[in-house]
Amino acid sequence: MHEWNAIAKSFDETRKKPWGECLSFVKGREGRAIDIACGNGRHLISMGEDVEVFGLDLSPEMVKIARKNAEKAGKKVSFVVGNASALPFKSGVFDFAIFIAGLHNISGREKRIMALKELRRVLKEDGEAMISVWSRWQDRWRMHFLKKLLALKIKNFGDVYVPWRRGAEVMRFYHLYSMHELKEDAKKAGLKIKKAWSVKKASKKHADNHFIIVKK
Amino acid sequence: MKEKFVRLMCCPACRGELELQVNEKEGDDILEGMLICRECKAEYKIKDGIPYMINESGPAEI
Repeated sequence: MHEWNAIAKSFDETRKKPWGECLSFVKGREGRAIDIACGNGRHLISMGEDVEVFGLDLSPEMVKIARKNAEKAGKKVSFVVGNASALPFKSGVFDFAIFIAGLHNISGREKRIMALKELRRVLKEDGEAMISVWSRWQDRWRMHFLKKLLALKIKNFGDVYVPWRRGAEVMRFYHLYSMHELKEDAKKAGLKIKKAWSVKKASKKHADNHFIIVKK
Repeated sequence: MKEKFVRLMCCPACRGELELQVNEKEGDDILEGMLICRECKAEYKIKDGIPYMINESGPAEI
């Protein structure tokens, strides 16, 4: 977790605007919402005026930055330092949730499924969430995984360390998902998949991000 | 954190009810204090208005 504290400031400098996918998902939604792994808060500032918003991140430094960004945007948000795999919230308290580019930073499949179960637990009946992860077969990692596959190195297949090179060099853990695995994990957590699609953010040929909208 | 939000929260380790201990507040904003689990007695600090809901020894740690 300390790696995210170390890069929090430069991470913030490179991530300012919420993704369009997030804007579409939160549009018109009301009630109480949580942004799990909120990072610098760029996505939670897109929530509607009347939404009671909570932001949770494992990194205290990220949470501090997210609070500043929410204040700048004139948003009232409650922040919590916490773990996606053990949410500090009672069951059935949120109308909707976003979990953007966070699930893939959890090491170990059991813990990732646990995080999805926790997400499901805190949602109200019929509550919905949008989840996004980096994809395995994107341009940047395609050869890496093909080589691993050919060498039959398939233990924890999808796990990589991605360097952050602005300022100090820091290695961050990622589990790069196939869409199949993302759907499987969501189903294992008891979530119903409403919609699933992949997009190219920086990749030219192959999608680098998977999105799913799930229902409790 | 707002005092009223304690009723939405639970202990991340055992999901027990939390008891709020206030050391410093501004209106209904808790600035410094502690959330203590009534079940497993785990303690979570509130520092500068942010609750730290990480259980150092329990199953919550990644």
